Amino acid sequence: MKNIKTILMAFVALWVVQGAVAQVRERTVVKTDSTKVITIVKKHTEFTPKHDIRAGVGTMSLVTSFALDNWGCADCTVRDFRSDMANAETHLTPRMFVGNYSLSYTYHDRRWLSYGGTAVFGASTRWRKDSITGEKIDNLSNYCLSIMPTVRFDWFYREKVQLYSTVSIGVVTDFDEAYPWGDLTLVGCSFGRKFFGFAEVGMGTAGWLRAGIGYRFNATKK
Amino acid sequence: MRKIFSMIMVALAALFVATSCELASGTDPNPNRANNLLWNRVYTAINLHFEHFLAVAYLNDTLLGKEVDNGGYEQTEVVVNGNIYTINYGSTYYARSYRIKTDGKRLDEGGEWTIYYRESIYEEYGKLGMATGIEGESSKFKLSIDNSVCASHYYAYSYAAESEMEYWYDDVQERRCVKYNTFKGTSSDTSGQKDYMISFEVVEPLVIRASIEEGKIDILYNDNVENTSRSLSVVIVNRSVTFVTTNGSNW
Repeated sequence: MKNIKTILMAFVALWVVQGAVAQVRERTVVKTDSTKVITIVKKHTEFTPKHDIRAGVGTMSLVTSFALDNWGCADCTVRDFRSDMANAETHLTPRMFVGNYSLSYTYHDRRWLSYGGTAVFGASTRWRKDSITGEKIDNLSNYCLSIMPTVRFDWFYREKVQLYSTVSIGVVTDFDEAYPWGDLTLVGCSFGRKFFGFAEVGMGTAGWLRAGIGYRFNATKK
Repeated sequence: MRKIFSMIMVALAALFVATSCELASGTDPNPNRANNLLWNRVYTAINLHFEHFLAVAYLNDTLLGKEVDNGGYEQTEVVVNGNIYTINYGSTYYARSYRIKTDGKRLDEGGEWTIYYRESIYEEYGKLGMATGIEGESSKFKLSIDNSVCASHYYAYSYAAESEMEYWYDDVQERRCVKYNTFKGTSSDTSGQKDYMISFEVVEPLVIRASIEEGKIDILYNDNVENTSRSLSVVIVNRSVTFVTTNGSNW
């Protein structure tokens, strides 16, 4: 069992290394048959820098829990009789987390390196409603916005499939106070050439799991 | 193109559903909540007053030589020191205790008793109120209570009440029962700022056996900050409580 694990890990490591090396080497293929030698030199197309625009949505994370729900205590205000009486004829809707929505732009400068910026907007909604009329009388929703410079490292690059990790460091604000914070994509995968989808596992302001769509186009014409 | 657009929309909807979650549940609409809040406060004040009444009634019966049960309450002990009687309830350390200083007269002799109270042995006694007897009446007296001095730190609010009652011992239920002929009181926050005030008054005699059985109580609530008010009548018939809002909310 231990051997299988080791072999499997070695295989994954080799695959990653191979992918990384493949990004930079030029590939030459020589084909022969029994009668004559045919030499085909196939050069890997050169990398063209690209603009990369993405929109995605992410799940809850620790940071958003802090900013949007105060660690589960967004509504833990000290209640007193007077405020209970003042709000007696109202009721609260559930506090709902409605997602982290991200928008990012990166400049894919080299095969392995992109840089740019990311903005993530997260929200939790809650309303106080009049118990008799059902009218919304108070908005108790919380919002947070983070703006972060981003660096993305592609550790497996193909035209259609890329595996990458991302580091972003910036600020998150709940529109009241701002805190320095960041976001880390541990493993991300994009699939598609110009128009693509992506899925990521990470931690930070964008959520534990993120997914979305994007569009990339060449920065310079050939 | 249309197909792609539809796929994107479906994917985004799925993502939205997947990422949405409930962080805290909501509350139910309850048009009677204000009435319940007010009634809970008054009900608690009545029960506290009833507890204090039991201590005084117990001492009164003891001085009259009546051998009656203490009303289903915890063990009771009377310690006499001159005109000062100490009545202890409950366990050793967390014993509620009353210290009643008489003027040397029983209540049926028109005595005036000063009541002191402490919640546990870790507290000092504080003045709670007065019991005033009526000459010739062995089971009637007036009780005036104000917990804002001695016991405000035990509760999140204060209350003060004056009542005149008659009581009897029910052999079947083995407890003291009481009928408040008059009962007027107030309840407020303990901050001393009196941001609000609840006033209540028994307008039809209030009868308590095992619980409040019948009576009618008018309640007036004043929010002194917002300058709003609300009034309510509570009618109790056969332990069934009905609210009659005499003046709807005006906030």
